Formats: sequence, C-alpha cells, structure tokens
Amino acid sequence: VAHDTVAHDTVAEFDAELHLRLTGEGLLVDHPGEDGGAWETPLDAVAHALVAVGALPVATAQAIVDDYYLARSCRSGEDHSFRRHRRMAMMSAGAGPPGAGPAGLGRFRALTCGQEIEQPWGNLVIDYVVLSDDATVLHVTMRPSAALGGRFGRISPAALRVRPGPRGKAGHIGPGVPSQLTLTDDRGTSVTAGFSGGGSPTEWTGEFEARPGLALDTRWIEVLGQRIELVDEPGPGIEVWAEPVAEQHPGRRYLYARLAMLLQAHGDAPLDTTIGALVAAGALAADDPAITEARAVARQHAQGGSRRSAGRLAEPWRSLLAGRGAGPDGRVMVGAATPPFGGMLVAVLAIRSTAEEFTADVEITPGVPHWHDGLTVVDEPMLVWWAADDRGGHYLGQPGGWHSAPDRAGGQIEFWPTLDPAATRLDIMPTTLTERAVIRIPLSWAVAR
Amino acid sequence: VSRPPWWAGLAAAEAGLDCGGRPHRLRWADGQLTTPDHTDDLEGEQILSALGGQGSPCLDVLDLWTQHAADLRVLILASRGPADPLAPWTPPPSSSSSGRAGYAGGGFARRARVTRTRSYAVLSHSPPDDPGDGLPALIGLGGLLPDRLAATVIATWAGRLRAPADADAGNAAADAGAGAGAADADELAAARPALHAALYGRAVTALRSWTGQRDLAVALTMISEGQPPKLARDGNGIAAELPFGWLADVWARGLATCWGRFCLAASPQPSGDGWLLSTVGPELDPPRPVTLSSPPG
Repeated sequence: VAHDTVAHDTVAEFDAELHLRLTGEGLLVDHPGEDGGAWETPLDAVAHALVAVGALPVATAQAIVDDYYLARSCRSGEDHSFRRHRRMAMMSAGAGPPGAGPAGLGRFRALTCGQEIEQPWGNLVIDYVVLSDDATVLHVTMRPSAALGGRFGRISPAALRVRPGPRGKAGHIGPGVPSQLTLTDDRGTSVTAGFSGGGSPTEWTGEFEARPGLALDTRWIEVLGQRIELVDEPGPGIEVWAEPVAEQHPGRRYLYARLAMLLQAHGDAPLDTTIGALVAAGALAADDPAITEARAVARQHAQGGSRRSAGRLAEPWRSLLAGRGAGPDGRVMVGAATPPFGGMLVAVLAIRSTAEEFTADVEITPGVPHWHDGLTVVDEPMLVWWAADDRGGHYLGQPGGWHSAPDRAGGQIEFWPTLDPAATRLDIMPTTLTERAVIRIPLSWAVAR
Repeated sequence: VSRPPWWAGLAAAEAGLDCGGRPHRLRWADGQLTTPDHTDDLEGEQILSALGGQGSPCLDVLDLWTQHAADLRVLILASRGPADPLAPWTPPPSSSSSGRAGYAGGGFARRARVTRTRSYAVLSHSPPDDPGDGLPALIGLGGLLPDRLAATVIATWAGRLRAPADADAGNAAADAGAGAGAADADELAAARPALHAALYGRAVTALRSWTGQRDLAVALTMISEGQPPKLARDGNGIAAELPFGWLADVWARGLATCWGRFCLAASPQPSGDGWLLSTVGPELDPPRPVTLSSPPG
C-alpha cells in the first residue's frame, strides 16, 4: 500500500491527493458506465493537471489512477490493462541515460517534385520526396483517368492495409491503382514501397513508403519507368529555433495549454475539471483572471465564434476564433528540424494550403500519441501545435492522419482556421508546457498539382 | 464509551471455491475467515500440497486476505453499497495463458509454495506489473466476502483513528488492529486522503439511495472521531459531516438507512441487547433515536 502512505510535504499536496481521489470516487458513483466513450475521463484530466503543476508526484498520481480504473473494471468487467501496457511501452522506449534527451530524427532530405506520371488507371503525382537514413517516402496524389469516368471504383479498405512483404507481389487498391511501387536509386538499388493514405472517388492522397529506403544522397529515383531528378534547392530562408514559453506562471501556463488542446480536439472534456484541480492544488487562485479568460474562450468556441464576438478576447484567441475566408492554394517545402525543446524534436517536411485548411507534414521524436488516445499516463507530454502569421493571425493544429510508436511519431497536422492569403510568413510553433520551437517559413507558394 | 467488537452485527458469510477439483467453502464469521473443508493443520496441508506440486486455492485466499486486511486499496475496489454491484472477476488472458497462479474455472490454478506468509511474491496471482496484485481476485470472490473484507479494512483504520480516545477509555482492543503502537501518527496523516475518499464514495452512494436523487450533490466533511455527525441542507444538495468511523459503526453493518431515515451513528444498547441508532428524517430535522433489538438466537 505504498502510495496510500506517502508523506505529504505540503498542505497543497495533501489537498491534491484528496482532490484526485474524490475525482476517482466520482468516476465510480456518478453515473458509472455513462461516459459515452469519452476520450478522457475527469480522473485523467485531474491527475495530469496535478502532476504537471508539481502538486502530486507522478508515481502517486499514477497509482491512484490505476487503482480507480481497476475499480471500474471490477464493475464493468472490462479490461483496462491497456493503460498499464502503454505506460510500460513508453518506459521501455524512454529507457536511456538520464538527461540524454530525445533520440535524434536522423539525417533527411525533403525535396519538392510535382512530377506527374500517366498510367492506364489515371495520374500519379509525386508531390514531394523524403529521403532519410531509414526510409524513402513519396508523398503522392492519385487521380482517376477519364477512361474510368473520372472516378475510382470501389477501393477495398483491406487492400490499403496490405504492406509489401519481402516477397510480396504488387497489389492493387482499385481498378489498376497500385498499392505498391518499385523504387530504384542511382546505385541501382531497388526497394518496394507500400501505400497508405485515403481519399475520395476522385482523388487519393497518401504516401508510398519503403523501409529501409534508398541511398540518402541519390541524385534521382526511378518510378514506373520514369526518372525523377532530385535537386536540393537552396534553402528558402527558413529559420528554426527553440525558446521558453512566455507564460511563466505554472498554473496559467498549464491552463492555457489545456485550453488549446481542448479547442483543437473540439473536446467535450469540461475545462472546469482542469480548473478545479489547479485551484485545489493551489496552482491557481480561484479568482485568477486567467480562469475567466479561459472560460470565455471555451464558451466562444462552443458557440461557433465570430469576428465580432471574438473581438473581446485577447490574442492569440481573438484571431483564432474570429474565422477567416478561403486560404491560398499551394505547397511550401520546408525540410527543417528543430533543436531539442521540452524533450522533443520535430521535423516539418512541408506545408500545404487549400481554400478549406492548411496542413503540415511532420515527424517527431519521441512518439506522441494521437489526441484520441487521451491522457493515458499522468505525465503524458503536452504538445500544442500553434502557428502564427506575419499579419497577427494565430492558428491551432491537431494530428489528422497519424502514426505513432513509443520512440517516434508523425503524420499530418491540420490547422484551423484557414491561412490568411495575404500572409507572407508563417511560424509553426510546436509548444510544450515550458518550451516551444519556432519554424519560421517564408510563404512562397508552389502550386500543388 | 464501551464499543462492541467490530464484527458485532455482521452476519456470517460464505463463498464457494474450486480447490484442486473439490468444491470447498470459505467462511467468514466473527471477524475471521476460515476454510471449513480443510483440517486445522493448515501449514501441514500447505507443505503437502507444495511437495505434491499442487497449490491450495483456499489457503491462497487466506494468505491474500491477511495480506490485504489493512490495505486501503480494498476500499477503492470494493462496493460502495447495494447500488454499486461488482462484476464477477475473470482472470486477464495473460495470467492464464502464462501459467501463472490465478483463478481458473472458479479456483486458483495450481502453484507450489512453501510458507503462507513469506511466499507472497512467489505466488503472485497477477503479472508483476499488475497493480491488482491478486486483489481483484479477492474482491471477485462473490457473495458477501468482499464486503466483509472491506469491513475488516474499515475496522482496522477506524481502530487506529480511535486508538488515542479508546486508550483513554480503556477500550483499546475493541477494534481490529487498534493499538497505540500501530497507530503511527504519520501513517495516519498520510492515509487521510484515502480514508476521506473511501468515506465520501460510500456516504454519497448511501445518501443518493436514501433520497432517491442519483444526482444529489454532497459536500462531505470528514470530522474527527468523537465529533457529533450531522446532515444539513446545502443549496439543492446535502452537507454531511461524518467521521470515518461511521463506516465501521453504521455503513458496514448495513444500517445507513432505517425506516426511511438516515443513520448518523450506531452504538450498542446499554443493556447489551440491540442497537441504538441516531437518525435524521428526509427533512433533516434534529436527530431522533431508533432502537433495534438483536434478532433472536
């Protein structure tokens, strides 16, 4: 019963443990089994907040959370051990020398392409290519030929899950559309790349990935009988740095980060749960103006926002919630990696803007789960994807298509609102509780084909 | 204050168990868990089982019971009352497939061990990383045994909290685990959040059942043992002031509500025959006594 007899160094720590335990009791006695599959429970939110502001040791909070989930499984008969298994996987992946920091992202080249290859089934557009030490990835768009009526036939989801085996044959995801491609480099090395992605009857986007990949410094690759020249273009003036976050008050810092995560997830997890925990732990005064501001932002967001009503909010919330018209259309190659910040490294490969949204393709180490996974460990790293343009506009991003392993993750960050067409510079700012990285990108749009 | 044994008023309870292919009983009565289908020579049986390469599920349960008799985690897992039923426990797939000891087909899988008290780590009923540590199996025994385990833990901690006052009254041995030496002040202080939470969940469940309001807001203050308990209106909810010992004296004995009234305290009749309850009605008027006579026999 070690965690039941922990010493409390401060009154706040005592109150924090009691607050967490009472939240756990609420999990069991307040409408048990009626959380509707929410992506996180108040217990998760409270534990995470208390640990983040240093009100409760990680081990104590985790043990209490585990016990209450075990209690819940004693009632529902469900197995909640996945939480423990995930934590062990994270611990295993993180096992390294103390203070060693995140493992590197390795060397990589991100190269714009835009080459279009005509096939009997339609067109394969290779948007850009990423070569790294361990993989070669072609980011592609596929559109059906007019001969098919301009529409793909029914595409089997099962076919999309098929990855090329060592002796695997090239499969198809539709009428002739390949699920695998053979890639060859200037050394004569050939590899098979498997497709993953998604789309509509008129367009599919995704990646053909070969792991291991081709030579990192190859001058060209050959795909479907066509040679694609890989030219490292001069850097377009991209700047990268890391810096502390501006807000120094631990309670407010956490509240703002949590607010951003709830907004980006369009979450139904009540902000008041987090506020209650921060106040109980003494990390925020009950009358702190940040609480009023956070509630106003959450309310504004829930009501849909408008330029007029958002005008009463401070930045970055005002421009975020004010709404915006159609964004510009195009892609900017980035290919830049950040220095370590908050125990992480991020590489931004490219950004793409359309009338409806803009996205960034990223890789990150260590692995960060999709927000759908919720706060399954009490010290889950917080990563908020902020962006800001040179016209004062702010944006929030969330993982869309996402792959995650304990040591590495990546995919597409989908930002909202749409990008200001008049912006000439964009800062992508992955932000942890204490530090953020800034990837400053001059916006020189290449028309995406 | 003369206090009866903590198990007074708690009916005996039994659960069945598959013990090496034989249907056995576990019986709790008067604060003790026993295995009526085994001989009195438990150590001898244990050694014989170990030598034969067999486990003894009944004795394993006795070990676990002893291990968790003061474990506050029991109060997290155990039921908060009739409105909080538990599901039958089933072993996680990993424990049965790996051949670890654990319940299988109603009994613990066979597992050799040597002594009852020192081999706990060896006979671990769950994977080493499992926070359950055999406790889910114990909580899932079925019948009233999990409630009796919870009552044991409650009595242990109530005894510790009351130890100073009871020592003054010459009543130190009245509750399980009581004793000034065991009631380390630091340990008690550290356990207060868990004790408070255990009281909160059970009091809230009892008050909601009593009022019929499943969303009733309850503000609970855990008062010191010896302070007078009370209920009061708090907006649309109820403000309750109860000591942890309310769980031992009232809740564990199933006396939380009686004749439509909420019981704040229960003590034995001065005559020693029956119980005297201090109760409040739905209007939260001043407490009134209710007298219960002991059942015949």
